[in-house]
Amino acid sequence: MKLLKTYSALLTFIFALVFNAPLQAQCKDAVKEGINKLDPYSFNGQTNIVKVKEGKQADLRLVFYKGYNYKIQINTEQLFAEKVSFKIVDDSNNEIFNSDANGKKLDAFTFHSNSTQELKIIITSTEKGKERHCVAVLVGSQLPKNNSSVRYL
Amino acid sequence: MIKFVRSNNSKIILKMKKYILNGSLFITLIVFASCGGSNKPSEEANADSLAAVADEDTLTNETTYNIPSAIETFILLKNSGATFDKSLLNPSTNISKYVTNFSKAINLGVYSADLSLCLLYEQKQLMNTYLKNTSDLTASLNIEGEFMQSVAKRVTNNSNNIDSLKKIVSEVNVSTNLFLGENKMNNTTAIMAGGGWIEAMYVISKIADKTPNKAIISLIADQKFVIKNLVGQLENYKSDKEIETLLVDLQDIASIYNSLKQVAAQANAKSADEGMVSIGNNTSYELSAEQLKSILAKITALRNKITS
Repeated sequence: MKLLKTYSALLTFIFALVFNAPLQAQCKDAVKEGINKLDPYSFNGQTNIVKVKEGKQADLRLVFYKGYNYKIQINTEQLFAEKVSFKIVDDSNNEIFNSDANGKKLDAFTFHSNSTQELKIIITSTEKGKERHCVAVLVGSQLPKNNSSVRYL
Repeated sequence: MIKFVRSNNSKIILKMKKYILNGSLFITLIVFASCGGSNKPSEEANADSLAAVADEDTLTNETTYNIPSAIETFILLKNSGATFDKSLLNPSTNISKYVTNFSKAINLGVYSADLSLCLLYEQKQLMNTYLKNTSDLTASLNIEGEFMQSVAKRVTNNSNNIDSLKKIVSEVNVSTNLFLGENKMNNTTAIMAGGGWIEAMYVISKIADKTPNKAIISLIADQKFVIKNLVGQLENYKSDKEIETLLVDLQDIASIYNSLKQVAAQANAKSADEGMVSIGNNTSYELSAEQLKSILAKITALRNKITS
């Protein structure tokens, strides 16, 4: 019985490592790199990880406060980066940003939020397959430089 | 490098849970075989409802919700001119009351919010106390390792450098969330987010009640968007009875927010910096004194319920 327990635990552990380690490592790296790319914006502390299936789309809904400048940074593993695109829509489903709009794939969007609002970030994988990829969505904020954009008027 | 080190046993047990939930019959059989006949109180025995009840493969949709962190909300509170009030924190001694995994997770969120407040107002002594509490609850929920163990030492070494302390707390939050995600414990993340939001709301509502300030009241009104996302985040795990109960309380508060009146910004509201695209409809929500009182009463009751 003791041998069976040891064997089964070891087997499970190996299975877990084989199937999960690459994705876990991807997520950690994607988050850490993404936070660094936010500079000079201050990371807001949210760790948003979206695991996108190849050929599928995933949505992330985030709240942005009025009166601040924000940077939304998307980060994923290098090989998958060219095969993932993202767009941002407001609560009326109006597209306000598309990472592929100008022919060059962008991985970040900066804007001023003139009202507290929820924005939907839609991440789409153009890769065909069955795997999941880790996409980190990091948010940084800063006060407007002109400082005239008063939050509560 | 951020690294979690856990005992092999607890790591294996966590991975086992993951595979049971992934529906692998083979692994499930192995797990049952391996757990059978043990009289020793095991981690799987006391891992109550917070064991991974769902993961992204079993969720009802592919939409993920997140809410602003407590520190983001508290930065706005501080910018409004609010002063620090120690009496608003959840007493650190309450930690001994948290024995179930749900109460540990929700109060990890509460204490993390308190820690953020102490950090922002540079209350170094209190910060150490609340950092210890968050560290203890983290360990108690089996979210521990080399990184968490080194936190206390790093805090001591950097106790006079507020920027370093902020960085440490940020790293702890990121690491905790990554760990929970890796171990398919996103329900714990959602509960912690709930605790953090309730504590932040409690603090800002109490301050608004004492010293009515337009900026703070607007911040409370803005939570209309936040509570909607929090409810969305928790609804993915509503099969858990404790989360279902929490949702009932939150939806009660959300119902007040549904009655808020939308108003356009005044004409003198300035726009963004030059070259910066401005997003939004230039509106905000108006919170009446009556609605504020009602929110304060409900959030105080809920906060007392989860922390007592």
